Amino acid sequence: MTALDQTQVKDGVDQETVDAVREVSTYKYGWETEIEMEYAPKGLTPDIVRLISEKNGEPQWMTDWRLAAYDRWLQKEEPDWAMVDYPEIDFQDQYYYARPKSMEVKPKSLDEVDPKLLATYEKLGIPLKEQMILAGVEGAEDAPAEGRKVAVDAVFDSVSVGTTFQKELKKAGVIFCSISEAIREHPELVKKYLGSVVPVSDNFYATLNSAVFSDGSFVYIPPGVRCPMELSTYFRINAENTGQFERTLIIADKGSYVSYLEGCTAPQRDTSQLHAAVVEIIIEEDAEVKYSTVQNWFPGDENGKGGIYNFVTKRADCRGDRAKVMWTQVETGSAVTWKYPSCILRGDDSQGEFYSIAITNNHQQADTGTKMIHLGKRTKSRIVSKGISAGVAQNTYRGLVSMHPKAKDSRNYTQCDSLLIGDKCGAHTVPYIEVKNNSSRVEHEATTSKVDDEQMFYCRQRGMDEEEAVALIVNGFAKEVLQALPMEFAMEAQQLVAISLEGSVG
Amino acid sequence: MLEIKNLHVKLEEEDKQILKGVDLKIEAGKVHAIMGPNGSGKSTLSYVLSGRDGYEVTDGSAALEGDDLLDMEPEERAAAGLFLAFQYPVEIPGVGNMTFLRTAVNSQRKARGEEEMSATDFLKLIRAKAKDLKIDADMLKRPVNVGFSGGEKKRNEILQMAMLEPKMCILDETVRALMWMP
Ligand SMILES: Nc1ncnc2c1ncn2[C@@H]1O[C@H](COP(=O)(O)OP(=O)(O)O)[C@@H](O)[C@H]1O
Ligand SMILES: [Mg+2]
Repeated sequence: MTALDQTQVKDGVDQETVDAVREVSTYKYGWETEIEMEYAPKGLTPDIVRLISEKNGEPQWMTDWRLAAYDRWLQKEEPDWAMVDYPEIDFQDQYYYARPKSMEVKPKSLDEVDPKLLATYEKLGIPLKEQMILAGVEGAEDAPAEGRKVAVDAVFDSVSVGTTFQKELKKAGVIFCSISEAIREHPELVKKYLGSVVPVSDNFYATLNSAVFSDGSFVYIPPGVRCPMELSTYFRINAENTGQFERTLIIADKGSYVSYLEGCTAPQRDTSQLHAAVVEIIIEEDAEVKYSTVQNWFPGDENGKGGIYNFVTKRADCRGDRAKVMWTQVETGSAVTWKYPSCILRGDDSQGEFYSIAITNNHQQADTGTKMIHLGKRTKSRIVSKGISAGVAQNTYRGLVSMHPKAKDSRNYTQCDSLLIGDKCGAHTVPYIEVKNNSSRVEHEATTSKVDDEQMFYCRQRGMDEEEAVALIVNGFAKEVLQALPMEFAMEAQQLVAISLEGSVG
Repeated sequence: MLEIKNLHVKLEEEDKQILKGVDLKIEAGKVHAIMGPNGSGKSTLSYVLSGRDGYEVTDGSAALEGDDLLDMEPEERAAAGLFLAFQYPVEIPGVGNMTFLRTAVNSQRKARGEEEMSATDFLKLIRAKAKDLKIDADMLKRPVNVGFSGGEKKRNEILQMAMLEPKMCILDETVRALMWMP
């Protein structure tokens, strides 16, 4: 932005053009990769479902599973209880499968992947090379100087283009691959777990996803194994008019540990696009999973044109005793976000945590939160939600804490803070609490504040401009959540917070 | 250094005139004290000079080294070398004192077209200055002014001043607290 502000407006270049360019520069991932694509015909029919299954080289049981989901989907209605408002989606007017032509024959190694695709990820800052990521976090004096390894699965529209460090992970017994590969190579695991946390008929979008999901990641950590590196999946939507339906399945067997991160971006377009994902996590006895998301889908322009409709079902099932899950999300993108990463605390002494930053600017709408379902004894959950709203955006925290009769001596602590920038945006907190035994305790605290004029003036008197000041104050407000992110990504998330609030003041 | 001429200031929201023709010339290297009873307008003068919203200058001028102050944004005045030690320093939850100061130092440097200060240089400098002011390392890590005692807040203002090396400092009631400094 700063560079553009200093650009002289030349003769013949009108203000509109300058503004348009400036707008583009706010969302840094709005460019498009020009690449030859292959699409399934537009619309959704049983034939399309069969076609997707065939393209993925799936066995018959998988095709049948999808077709059953499709039938269920026809009977379901789109939910309307969320505080989001968007034009009706025409499910027949879009593509359900798009894959780069060069991916027709799956490359055997990363060296065989189309250079254009590799360049795309390079440009996104996710080089598909087996290299160290250096921790660049401020004040990270204790960070290991040699950096840490992060394995990446890269999904481009409907297909995974490659996964790094697979060999090294295999040595440790870890399976990390695309879900389509898992369906072919590890059918016993997929059959056992797919749909076991988010049932096919769970909700409209999950059912849709079950019918048409194209790719996503699969993780299996065997008993007692601590995954030797951070795992991550990077989702890129590139094709126009195409929905992305990712499916992720993570299984942490007894006593294992894994930290997983997902990132997402899409080109800037003035038509909206649908993204409906399902993520299922199974955590067995004494195992622990950390799942972090940095969601930066295109949010639409300043006037609310375009952007991704993000309808996501994410759920973790702590099946064994003392199982632990931690969801951390930084939601800065999408025109509409509908997302409630949840924890089923089934095992005794199991624990669920949810840390969330949701930023909405301009015309963005987010309705997000979590569900903590306490079933086991002495289960614990903690929710920290930070909603930040600017422009004319609406930001809703919606959460359920449920203590079942058998969940004796369980605890929940919920803290929901909302921060408003300007006076045209809104923040809402909708907590649902059910306690069905008398030894459990639920605590809920909520605050709403405004970016304070006094704080702004104090920062500016010390030399910061308005945008720097807002970014600093907001990052402070969201600190507890930023600290929950893996170190490698905390810095990136901090910058993202600043970028997504550009233009919100002044 | 600073020249204020016939400065008239009223509240933006109300019809209340607070400053009615202030004239003041401050030379480099000299210390001046402005005294007056509570409510006489001392803080208002320092706010108007530093560019806080809510006041309207109806007449007069103020210039720093010949540059019209009243025409600049608050951060431009800061970069030009004006520093205000607040009577009531503001709390910023979650923002570490060091992060705050480093952002401020680098923003001013950027505005003046200078290079950013490296993390190592910054650390060295702030540790030295904190030591001079008997500010312990713990206070540098805590969020800006949050839970600071009155005296700690004032000392923190002086630390910021020492780090930013301004040309012209306005200390709004700061000295009173510093007199009890250990
Ligand atoms: N933002 C404001 N709103 C209402 N009254 C104000 C505001 N700022 C200053 N005043 C009034 O202006 C007068 C001068 O206040 P101030 O500058 O704080 O005096 P001092 O610092 O000398 O004690 C007081 O009557 C005070 O109430
Ligand atoms: Mg005063």
